[in-house]
Amino acid sequence: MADKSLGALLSDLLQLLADLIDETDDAMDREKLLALQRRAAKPLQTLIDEIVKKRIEEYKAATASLTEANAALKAAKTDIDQVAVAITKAAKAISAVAKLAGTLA
Amino acid sequence: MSGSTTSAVRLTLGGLILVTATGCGLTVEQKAAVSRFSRSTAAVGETTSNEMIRMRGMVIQMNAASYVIMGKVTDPSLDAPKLTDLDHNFTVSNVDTVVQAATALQAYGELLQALVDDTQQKELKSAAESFVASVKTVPGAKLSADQGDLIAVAIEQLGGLYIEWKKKKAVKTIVTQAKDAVTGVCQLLATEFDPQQADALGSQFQKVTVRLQAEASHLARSTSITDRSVALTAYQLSVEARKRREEIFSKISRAAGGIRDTNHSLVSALATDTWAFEDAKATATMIKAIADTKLVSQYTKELVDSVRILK
Repeated sequence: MADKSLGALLSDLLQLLADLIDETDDAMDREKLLALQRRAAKPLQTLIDEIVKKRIEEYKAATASLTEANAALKAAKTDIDQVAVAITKAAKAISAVAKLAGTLA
Repeated sequence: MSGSTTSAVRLTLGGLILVTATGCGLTVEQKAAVSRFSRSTAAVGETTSNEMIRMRGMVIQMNAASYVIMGKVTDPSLDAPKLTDLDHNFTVSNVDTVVQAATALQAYGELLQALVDDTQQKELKSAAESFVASVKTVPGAKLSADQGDLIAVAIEQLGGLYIEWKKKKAVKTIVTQAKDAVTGVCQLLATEFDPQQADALGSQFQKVTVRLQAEASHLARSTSITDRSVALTAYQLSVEARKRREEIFSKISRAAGGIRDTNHSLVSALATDTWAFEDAKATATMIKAIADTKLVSQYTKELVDSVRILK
């Protein structure tokens, strides 16, 4: 199993402290646990702020690539739609030639 | 003009015949793989978007509840919510970025499905009928009703084959090019919602939840009924958020991971040529069916000859 990241370890610690506060009846002990919780959460918040900033950029980059793929799919669909149009155009061309032939006859 | 028209007709027919000889569409298995992928992306796209918006609402509520309990904390070494920053990291802009990623993934699945599903049969039928109707007006093109029908069917079928060939070419190219982007978005979402990992917004949600749990739990033992009332409402909110993170989020995380894996399967299915034999068989059957009705050899020749008269 891979080692947990610092962020994951801090998160686990905060959850353990909160659960311990739930279980502790002594008010003084709870005060100490709460103070510890407030202090330990600070570096985690700093870490999360950095990760969020980085991840948001990653989301933006991946979304831009996906948007390009979606545009390519739409273009391919339009291209395929042109097949029937091409056949109809050929029909019109033949019709025009037939009219011309009729005029010349 | 008449010469160029003849060439155009020859090219059109020649092109269509060439497609039957070289073109192979997507196999049933490949189409099924696209369908599976599309269904998965639709479910995750919608759920993720809704959940992100709900998460933002819950974070604001939880931070507000923590602020009620903690008040204004001035010690910079302590973690505490700020009145002017209750949506910390869950800003409209950040939430919107994740929602856009999920929506783009959903749109990708839907567009892929639409490209594969659209057979254009109706349009081809109409175009083929229009083609035959025009040919009938050409002097010397004496086509009976049956002959006209058969030519229309041939054009429709060949047009269909051409479309299938174009589809496969497009799908193969686009799916291969989009592979990394799809994997990237899926990986980001899978990690974001994984309760076992501390990452980005998922981690922020967890931290806000745990803080509220700790603060409310301590205050709930107060002798003041007002304090207990505030504490219990806040505690209930933290329990609800924790449950949501553990149950709903993990489902989204697994589903996003599932899409990532389905996409890998789709890319592999399109990359390998295991379907070539099947496609070759299907193409051969189609050519035989057309040859049996002598459409290509007889009526198409007559059609080209008829137009040639105008030279």
